[in-house]
Amino acid sequence: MRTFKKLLPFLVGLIAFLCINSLLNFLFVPYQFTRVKIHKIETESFDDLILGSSHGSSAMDPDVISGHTGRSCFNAAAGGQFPCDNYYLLLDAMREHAPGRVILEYDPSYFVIRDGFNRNARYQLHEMAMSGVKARYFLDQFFPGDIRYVLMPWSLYSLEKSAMENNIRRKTSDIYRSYSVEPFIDSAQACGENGFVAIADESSGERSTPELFFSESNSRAVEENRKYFEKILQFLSESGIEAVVVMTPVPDSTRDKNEAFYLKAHEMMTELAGRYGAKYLDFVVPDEGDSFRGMSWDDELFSDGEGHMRVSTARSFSGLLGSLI
Amino acid sequence: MSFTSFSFFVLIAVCCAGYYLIPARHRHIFLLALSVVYYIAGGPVFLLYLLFAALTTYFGARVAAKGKKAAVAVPLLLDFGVLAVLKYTPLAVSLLNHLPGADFPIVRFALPLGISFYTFQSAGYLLDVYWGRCEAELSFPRYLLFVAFFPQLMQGPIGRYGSLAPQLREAHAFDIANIRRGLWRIGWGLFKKMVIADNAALYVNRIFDDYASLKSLGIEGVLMYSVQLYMDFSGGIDVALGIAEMIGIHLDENFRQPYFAQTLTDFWHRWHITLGNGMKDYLFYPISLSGWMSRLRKWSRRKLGKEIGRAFPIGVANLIIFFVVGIWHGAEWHFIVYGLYNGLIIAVSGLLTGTFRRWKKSLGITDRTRWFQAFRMLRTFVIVNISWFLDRSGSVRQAFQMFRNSFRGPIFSIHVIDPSSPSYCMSHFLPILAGCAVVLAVSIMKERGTDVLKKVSSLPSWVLAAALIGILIISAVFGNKDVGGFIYANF
Repeated sequence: MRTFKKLLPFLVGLIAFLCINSLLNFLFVPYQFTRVKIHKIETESFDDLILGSSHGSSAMDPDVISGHTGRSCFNAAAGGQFPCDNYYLLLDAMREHAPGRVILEYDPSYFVIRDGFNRNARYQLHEMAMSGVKARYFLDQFFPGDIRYVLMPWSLYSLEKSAMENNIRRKTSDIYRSYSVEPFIDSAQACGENGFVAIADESSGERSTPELFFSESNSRAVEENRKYFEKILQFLSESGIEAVVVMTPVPDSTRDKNEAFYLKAHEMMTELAGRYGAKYLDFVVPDEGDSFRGMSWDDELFSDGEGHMRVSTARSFSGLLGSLI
Repeated sequence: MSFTSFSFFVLIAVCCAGYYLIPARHRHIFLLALSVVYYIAGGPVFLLYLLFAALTTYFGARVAAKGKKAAVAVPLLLDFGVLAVLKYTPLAVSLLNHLPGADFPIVRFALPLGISFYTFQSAGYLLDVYWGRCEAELSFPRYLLFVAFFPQLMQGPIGRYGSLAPQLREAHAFDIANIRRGLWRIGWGLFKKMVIADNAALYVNRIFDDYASLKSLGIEGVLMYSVQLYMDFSGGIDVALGIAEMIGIHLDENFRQPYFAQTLTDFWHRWHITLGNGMKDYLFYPISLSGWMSRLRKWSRRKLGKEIGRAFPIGVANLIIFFVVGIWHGAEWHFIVYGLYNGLIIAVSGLLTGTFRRWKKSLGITDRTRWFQAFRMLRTFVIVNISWFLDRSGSVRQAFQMFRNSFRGPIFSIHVIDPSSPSYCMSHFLPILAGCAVVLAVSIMKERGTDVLKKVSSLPSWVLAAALIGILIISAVFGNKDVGGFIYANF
């Protein structure tokens, strides 16, 4: 009892910290589209589930794909979503509703990034419902992370007064409670209920062509990302779920500048997809006999040099993809 | 597992709670298990290297206690051999490649966590047993705990068997004062690391990585590095000492306000103290007392006179010691030159001691003269900072280029880390400035003999709790979260 009394101030301090921290999270962590996506995959079932990065979210319109396949489809791909995050997102979706097929967008430029503080992943963890999957995701990706990243995600966002006011307004409104996409629609892009991010045809991002390469310095990141991509394919194969791996097109100038990089990425995925019986459609380095081989992807079809498609390009591409799968 | 990781905080909590809940006779096993868990988190294979070093020195010491020289030599050769192969192969290959026709590929091995520290510590134990300074440990688990005790495993302080092992053996009763002192120390270490060192790292990395285009900012770079290195290393040591303190174990201090040093020798008595003491006891004294040194001493007295003749052999021994210190830091030329630079200055100042004494006498200056003390402190700080050029640069050439270019243009820019965003730069520069002011104030108090830790530990617990919450929030708001690991963890 005496020891407990001596420790009481520390316990009170711990509780005070948790309260202050929760308040700061409420004030500074904004409402994000990921919340909508996770809610959807946890509560609804789809025949086709799209996973991947921002290239996938802006290139694959589920409605257009459904129009071709006749199957329900949802796009759960998102910017800053690495193979590891996709793996746990898939497991999360599988808890209640197993999709009939998973379309796995493959962006090799994500493979070479050494990922430190990834606030998108932290937000994904925050939004996932309590489950064994969430616990595994935490232990795997967050437990070894910096204490500030794990405990205080609010510090990864803008701490300005205007941002705080905006967050309070949104989080106390029906928009937040009803998982509305309304805040994510503006003149530059529109996030839809189906998970698709439509980038306006008029929008223009960074036009410079990125320089991509595999090297010794990023070999650990490549290994880590490859490991999770493989885990996804292995899991799908073992669960009897069809897998389609898609590398979405990039502007011709980006492809030409990084030819060696894309060739190596193509080889890596051909081997991986082949091992698990997944269909692999590479729109950057098409195989002999692919019907889309020889297609040109002019820079103007994209909003930036990285390869985020404008909405009209995305809809034509989705039509093409829907007809191929 | 970094000291700033969430998992490490869980480990600390488990360590503290478990230590006091587990029966006293099993506590060393509990601490050993935690240390193994900690080590395995850095790579399970590396545990084999640690076990190898522990086994060789454990059995070696058992035999060495009977006075067998070979029982010391063999384990030392094996352990330092492993260290040499893992750490110094690239340097050896690059040297070999200078031979005509040689073109060997440079192989780099993954370095086991803290290999330099535990190799040094276990070698020290072996020598202590051989020289009769302590008894050989009979229990291997207890000895393994001494080698692998997790708070000090990554970057020290380097423990001496005589002081650490009895504490690990002893069952410490729960004492709230220890918890308080430990928590203050951990908080203080995290503040230094996360708020100051990691922000300074932004400037250091920017300037040193792009030194060719940021020509004249070498001085800013090296000053920031002196801040980063001290806050990073001493911060990590504070955390290690704090954890041990919470379970009643007092590890050796590793720093004593080093930038207040009056001479370079004084600096090395205040910086990385446990390494310096180890070098002195296990290398300097054996060299000084060796036969060839005795012959050198006689020769130099005969040829160079009494004054210089006495300082000359000590200077030679210092050069050897600092060569080893340099190579201990890393298998690269700039580290070796860094060590030799320190050794040379200490050796030369030793040779000139008499001359300095005469100058001071003729000018009426004593070592207690205030302005002279300030001058010496500044002079030593400059000498140390010149050595940091060598320590931080990627090559000797880079260090010289940066030093040479330091005076060819503006020497300071707050905005160098991102010229397009002054507010971003200020958000990283101001925490360094404010943090350094706090550390300076505390250092002045400590230098004047105030036991700051004792003072703050006597404050009510709620003040401590509020301070810890404050430190966490400040580090979240102002800390640079992308830096991560500790500099000395790489050694």
